Amino acid sequence: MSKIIEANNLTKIYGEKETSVTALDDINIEFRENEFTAIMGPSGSGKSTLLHCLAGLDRPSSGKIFLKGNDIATLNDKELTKIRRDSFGFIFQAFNLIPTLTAEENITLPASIAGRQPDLEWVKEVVETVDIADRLTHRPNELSGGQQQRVAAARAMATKPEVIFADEPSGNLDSKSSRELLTFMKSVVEELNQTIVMVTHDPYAASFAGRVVMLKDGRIASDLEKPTQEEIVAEVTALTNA
Amino acid sequence: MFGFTKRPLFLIAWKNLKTYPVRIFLTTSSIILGVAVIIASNIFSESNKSAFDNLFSGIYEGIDLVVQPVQEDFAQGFSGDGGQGPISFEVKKIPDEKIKEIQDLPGVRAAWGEVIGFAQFIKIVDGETVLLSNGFAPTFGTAWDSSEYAKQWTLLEGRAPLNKKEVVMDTVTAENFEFDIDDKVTVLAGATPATFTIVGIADSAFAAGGATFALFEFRTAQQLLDSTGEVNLINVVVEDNFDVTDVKNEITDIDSENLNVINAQEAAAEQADSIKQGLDFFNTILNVFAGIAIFVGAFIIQNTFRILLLQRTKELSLLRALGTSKRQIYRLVISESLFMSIIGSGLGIGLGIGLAVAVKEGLQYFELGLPDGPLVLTSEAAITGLIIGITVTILSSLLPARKASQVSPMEAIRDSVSTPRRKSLFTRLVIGIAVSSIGFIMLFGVLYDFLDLPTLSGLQQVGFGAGIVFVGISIITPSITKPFVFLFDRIYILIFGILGKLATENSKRTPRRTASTASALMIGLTLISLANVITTSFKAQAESLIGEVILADYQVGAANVFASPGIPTGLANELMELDEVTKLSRTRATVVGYNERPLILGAVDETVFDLVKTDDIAGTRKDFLKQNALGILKQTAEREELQIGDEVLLTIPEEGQLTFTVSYIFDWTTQPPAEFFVLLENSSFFSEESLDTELYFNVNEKSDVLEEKINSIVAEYPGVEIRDEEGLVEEANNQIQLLLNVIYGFLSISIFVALFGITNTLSLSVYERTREIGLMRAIGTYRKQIRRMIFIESSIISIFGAALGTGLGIFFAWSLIQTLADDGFTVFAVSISQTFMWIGISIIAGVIAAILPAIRASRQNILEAISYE
Repeated sequence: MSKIIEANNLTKIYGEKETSVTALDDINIEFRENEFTAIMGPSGSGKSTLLHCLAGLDRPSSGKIFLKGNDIATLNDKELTKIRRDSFGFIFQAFNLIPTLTAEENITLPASIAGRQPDLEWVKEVVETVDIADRLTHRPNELSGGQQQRVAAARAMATKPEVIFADEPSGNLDSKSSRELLTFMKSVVEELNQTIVMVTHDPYAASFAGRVVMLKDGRIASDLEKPTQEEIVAEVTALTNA
Repeated sequence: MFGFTKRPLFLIAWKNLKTYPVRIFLTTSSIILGVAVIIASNIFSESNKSAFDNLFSGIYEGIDLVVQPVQEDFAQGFSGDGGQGPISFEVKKIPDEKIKEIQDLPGVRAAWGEVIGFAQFIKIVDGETVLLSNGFAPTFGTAWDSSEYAKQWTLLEGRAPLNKKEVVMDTVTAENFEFDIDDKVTVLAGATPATFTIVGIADSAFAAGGATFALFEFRTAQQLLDSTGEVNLINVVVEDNFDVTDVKNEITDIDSENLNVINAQEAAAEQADSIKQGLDFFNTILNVFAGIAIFVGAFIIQNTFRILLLQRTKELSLLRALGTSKRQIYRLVISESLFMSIIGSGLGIGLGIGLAVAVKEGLQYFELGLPDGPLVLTSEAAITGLIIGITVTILSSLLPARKASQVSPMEAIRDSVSTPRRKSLFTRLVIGIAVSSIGFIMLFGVLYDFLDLPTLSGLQQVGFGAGIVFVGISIITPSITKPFVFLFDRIYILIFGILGKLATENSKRTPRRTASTASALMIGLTLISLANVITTSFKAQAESLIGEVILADYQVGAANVFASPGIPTGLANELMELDEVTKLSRTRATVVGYNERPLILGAVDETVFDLVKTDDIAGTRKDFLKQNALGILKQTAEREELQIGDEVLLTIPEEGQLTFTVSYIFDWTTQPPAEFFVLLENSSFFSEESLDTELYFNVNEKSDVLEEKINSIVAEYPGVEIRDEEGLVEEANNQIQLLLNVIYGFLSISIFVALFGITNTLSLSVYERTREIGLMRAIGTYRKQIRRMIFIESSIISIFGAALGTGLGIFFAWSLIQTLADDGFTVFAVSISQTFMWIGISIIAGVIAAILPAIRASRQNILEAISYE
């Protein structure tokens, strides 16, 4: 499998001299095509910062980020925005949807702001996969939390992005909706050949991923291939107590 | 130990304001403006009043008594006109000998005569005659003060005029038109211009109003100003040890039938008073505009308060959680608004002073000379400004404060920006419809004659009705925001795609806010389009009238009716000698006495009936041609109850009483030059020295060559202007447009105030959508697109306000014109270009107002908006 996104010597320091906090400390990591990766770690481990930097939402203090071989860490805001729009998809913990737009309009929003006609065949396929075809004309406040997250997932998929970044996507959901969403995300990777990078603190959510990366104090603590939920729990416990 | 404060909420309120000066500015901006206009208008009128006081005490400085001739009864009402202007009639004067007689009375220290009349400075520039005047102020000629006691004029340079070739010029004119000592200047006094050498430049309280003054040697002045052997009045200085009243009586005793003696200082006060009343009227108009600004301001303050309080929901709810009562929160907000209003009103007073200075400088720049003098700010004005500012601010903050006090203590713990509760707009709609229906009934009641309220005139009823309709519509606006924006949906989505959709959706989301923001703009646009339609209609009316009633090819009249004596008769003779002139009519006028009252008697050529549209009411043109025949205007005949065949006794100056027979009653469809008419040929008392007031003439064929020829003849008569039909229409239009521009100027203040409202509303809208905008940025929306979205949203608000306002304004104007139909206003015309210009200006204003919120929105930190950790 080829590399899609890769971070070299990635460092992120917040604040000035004395009060500075190192959120990411010289991280080297790569994500491969068609892979579902979960990034885990205790609070303050830098997992969200890593996701934000990779996704072009935040800028690293130093280091490089390559998207298919092109460094995106040095791009200006406009170029970065274009990459987020055309190459990335996003699922956040909450407030994923524009309240004034219908589910359908939310799903096609990235295409709309790019001034492009969305690939309707593909959108239809995605919508069916996430099972919200009958809710398309509804506004977010008429949808359940689970439905909202599935619409967000559909939006993330709609532009056929290189990578989908998910930040605690199931954080606000009940266990049933959570399982449905994660199952869907897993099937997207397996059946529709997507790449997902997900930040979570929940070992259950992480167990849907094929790869789990553990962060601690801004460094990579471990990198597990196809771990079971028990293995993840054990690793988390070990890290927390270390 | 910790400090203890008895009034912690007061402290919090104060600290809040100290920490956020921008808030104070945003909230109070409209109050600052409103108070500033009140203060400025007040300073302006007060200063002018005090300047006029100074002026009149300056005019009468050192003089105790003024001796005036007793005018014939019927001329009294015209004494201010003193033989100026197009109507020439003989003003009584005092013979020179009386000066000596008065001088010889015991108790009189000095007595000297004053001569005053019309004199116009003329300059030849590139072969063209230019009449020198300062704005619309009159042009005077007078005698150089002949007494050592006269303090009215002060020489700044040079010396007094000594012979009939010398003149002294007032300093304002000398400065404006760059004249110096020893320069030659042409002066038109009487019918023929003459050239003089300027020997001095002088200043006086007289010149403060902008009038130009040519001061001649005493005898020269008498000659030039048609007062040989006479003076207009005599100034008297009384010896210190004599009583002024005693001397006054003595002088009256000389010739009580012909002399009227007045106390100079009392006269100064009286004359100043009458001018002050005029200024009060001007002040009232300014205050109305200030009121509009404040009314608009109240909307905006209320909105801004709501915005600020919403942004502080967390803080207030924390206070609630800590045990602060609702009442205390309410008081906290009110005391904040009290602080703000004091600061705002204070700034307003400061700005008002600045504004007054600017207006004064501006008027001086345009040479619209008002008397010079220091700017006066009365304590009453300052206090009024302060009270209005504070009251309006506090009243506008009551509702938002109430709402803020209802905040739940739980709000502090919740992690989301609260969205306003949606209350049904249905009640509002019903109330609004009810209110506006009342207004519509009142208004249409007049137009369609089914309702006539007692004690109100038709016009008043329409006015009140319109006001009530306006209030009703203001109540309805939130309910119609959605349907209105719906109209935009398709078009905006077509033009702007998804950004258009987002913007229209946002305007619908908070219909109340969108509506109240738009209302501020609506007020200004209503008044602007009202003014626009009324004036456009008047213009159209004037145009159709002039075309209909002026049958002549050309009209000749005074260039400046305030300053010109009329048209020398030579012009009419010269024109008649031209072969191309086929028909010409002259008009002259004089004041005569009829039934102990003054009336204007006009003398016309028979041809006037071919050149100006008149309608026969009774009798015919032929009857008018007889000796002693009198023509009467229709309305005068009705008023005086005169019929064909009635005998009319007129008192004619210097001629005595003459009897005429009413032989022709007609309707003069333009502005009539007189009420009674005689044929010029038959009237010997209109001497050849008289001046024509108007000439109308036709030519066989209009051509550029002929026009040039005519123009070159007219050019030899300074102060006279020739106009063809286009020129007349243009002149009427220019006057109307000038008035309109002044109104526009004042009303743009309200648009300016509305700008702040739009900025505030959009800022709030951006603040509430922090997450939404962050999300949009995260999934790849450019900053530019975010900005565009805010601009589009702002354009919706401004188009909404402008469209409503324009619609209402046009409707009100239509109603008004319908009401005035009986008074001859029949044309209703809308200037499409100006209407769209103002809608365009509103949209541009809206976009300008959106700049700051748009920049703020586009700079929104994405991570802050989407992070939860």
